[in-house]
Amino acid sequence: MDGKLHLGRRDFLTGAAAIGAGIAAVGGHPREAVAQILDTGIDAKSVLAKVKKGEALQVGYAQTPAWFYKDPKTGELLGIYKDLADILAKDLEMKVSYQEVTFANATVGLRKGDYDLFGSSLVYTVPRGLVCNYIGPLWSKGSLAIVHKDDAKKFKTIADLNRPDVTFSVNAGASEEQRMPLLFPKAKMMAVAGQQAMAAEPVRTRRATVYVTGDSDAMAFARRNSSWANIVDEKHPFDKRPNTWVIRYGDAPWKNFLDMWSAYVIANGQVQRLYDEYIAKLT
Amino acid sequence: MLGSLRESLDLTLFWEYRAILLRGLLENVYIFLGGAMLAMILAFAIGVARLSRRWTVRVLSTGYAELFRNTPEYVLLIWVYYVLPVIFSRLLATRFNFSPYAAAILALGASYSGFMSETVRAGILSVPREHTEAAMSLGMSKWMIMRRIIAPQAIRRMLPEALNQFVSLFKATTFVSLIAVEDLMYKVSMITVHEMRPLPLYTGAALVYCAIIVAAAQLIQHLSDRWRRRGWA
Amino acid sequence: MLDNFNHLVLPNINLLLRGLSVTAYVCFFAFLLAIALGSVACLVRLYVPFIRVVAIGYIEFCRATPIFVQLLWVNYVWPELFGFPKTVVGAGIIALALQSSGYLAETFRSGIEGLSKGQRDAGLAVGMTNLQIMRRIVMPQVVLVMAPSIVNQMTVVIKSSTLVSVIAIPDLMYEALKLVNTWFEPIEILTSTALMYIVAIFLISILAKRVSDHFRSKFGLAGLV
Repeated sequence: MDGKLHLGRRDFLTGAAAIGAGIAAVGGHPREAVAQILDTGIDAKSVLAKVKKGEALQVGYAQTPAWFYKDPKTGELLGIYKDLADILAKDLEMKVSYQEVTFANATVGLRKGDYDLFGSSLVYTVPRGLVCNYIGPLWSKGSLAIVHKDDAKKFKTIADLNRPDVTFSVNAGASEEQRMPLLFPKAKMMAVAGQQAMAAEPVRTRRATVYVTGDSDAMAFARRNSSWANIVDEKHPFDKRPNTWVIRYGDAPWKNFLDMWSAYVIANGQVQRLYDEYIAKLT
Repeated sequence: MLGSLRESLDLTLFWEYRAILLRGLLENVYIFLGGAMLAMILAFAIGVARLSRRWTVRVLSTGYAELFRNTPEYVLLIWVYYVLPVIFSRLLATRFNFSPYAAAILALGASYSGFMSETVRAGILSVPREHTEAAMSLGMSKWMIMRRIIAPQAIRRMLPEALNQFVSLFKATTFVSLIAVEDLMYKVSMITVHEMRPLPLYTGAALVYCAIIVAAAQLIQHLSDRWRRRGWA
Repeated sequence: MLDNFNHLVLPNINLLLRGLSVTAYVCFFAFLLAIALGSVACLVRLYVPFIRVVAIGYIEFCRATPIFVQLLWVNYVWPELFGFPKTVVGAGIIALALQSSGYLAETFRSGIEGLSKGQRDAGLAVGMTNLQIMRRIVMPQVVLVMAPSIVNQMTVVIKSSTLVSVIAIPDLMYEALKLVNTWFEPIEILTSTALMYIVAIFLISILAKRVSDHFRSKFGLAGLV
């Protein structure tokens, strides 16, 4: 379809297995490590072993505009990372099944092993990094703040928001819940449960002053809600961080494979192409 | 305000998404049916156990009923969804995963079994002792007395109250959207995010649930009146 | 597990207790408002001929709409429709009160209808006004007779209040979920939270039952159920 070279599953796995086996050998218990490795050279507990057996790839997601969302009319799953997950499954010659969770449950579900990969856009934070492994990263994005049009004059730059009479509205479980109090220590915070964009509602009804979300998400959102939404200093997204997929902590062969795979889709421009496509569609 | 009043009562947006919203409502019904079934089975077991002659069984089953009656449904739902699978995985030393649907049915079923076991107990107690004694003097076995004498009378007497419990259970299915079950409220919030017009959507949802429950309540009233006239209840 | 309890729950116990106090605050005012709204709706339904239908419609709507739906409806729709509530706490209190006021109105009504008509006639015969009859004869009896139902409704309010965390009221559930979102350790935090709710609800229902039993026996109503 895009005329790009798609390597077969075997090529990837051999490479990943070699790295995995290497790490296991360095681990210090060579005999134990070897015992855990299958004939193919893959740790039996790794998701890669499952890939090899031809089971379905399970991808968890939480809805976030542009990256992983459902068309409300048709219920069809769409998004940059959704398309990318489809490409991954195709490369692995696997079926893929999607399971929706809330952001609040994203990391917990991953630790429980509910899915092999959390496919929504998850921003790097230190607490998450301590309990999960980020892969890639596939992309990086900054944050943008949305205020009500009536407040547009009051807030010219991001620094204007660090005031005690400002209330931030963020999604419960999203990275903003942890990042914003550190960046804006003087302001008040509220975290709204449910889907991500619901956190914008308090700003529209003037219960909160500002809604913070990723730069591309904010632009798509402001375009659709031009009657009241206004982005503060649109040219300068702040607190730029990688946002990417996440897997269970410590699955080294699976992480090595996905790191390699993400380097591949970044290098051949696949991610950029999907990003441009969706942003053009949504803004 | 008049403008917003008109907007909130203008349900064309609700109509536009009717297929999706209806599918959401069906999810509510499925969860309700699953939860009601589980609640009934548990409630009968616990209700009977609470009348046991052994004090350990009595204490345990009463503790169960009190525990679930005093636990907020939402807290139980979140606990079953987040915590229970982790505990199971540790105990069984394997990966253990609840779908949100299973968690919703389990949590709501357990929660309402606490209330309903009380109804079952009251229903059984309402059967006069003489009936049991008469049956015993005829040489009926314990199991037969339960099946042929106590259960038919008790079930008739507990029906109106049990049906009220079912209405509450149906109302409780609305917040399963919070663990990403795609019920009506989930669809409403998804469409709200897309259209950013919460007024007609939330008003429509409130009216839909209200209509369903008023209709159900009328039906229950009608049925229990009829049963009462026939001397059933 | 105990280890996690020591470093997750204990250091944050103040946060959870602060959440519990917000829960108490919301429930207290919601219940007060529910009693006020419920009494008005009940009295209108019984004694005001022309707007009786309005009261019946109100009571039925409040009883038949799930609390979660009401909560989101009041929170997202009311500010635009009526210009209030201005805060999420206000929205939570109003939604909880709406729900309970419907049930309380029906409780009060059955209490009033259960009183014999002779008492009212006797009151009129000794020259009491309608208001006096209501205040000195009807009200005390209704409250005492209906005390168990009222207590039960109070625990329902507390249980429903767990949902207000969804609209970002910082109650116990909100603080607990925030801790889970920070440390991704649900077991100890959520189990402790559930226990806190269970104990709180259990204690309050026992206490309220004691108080109502005390007054019921004092006024010779102990035999009534």
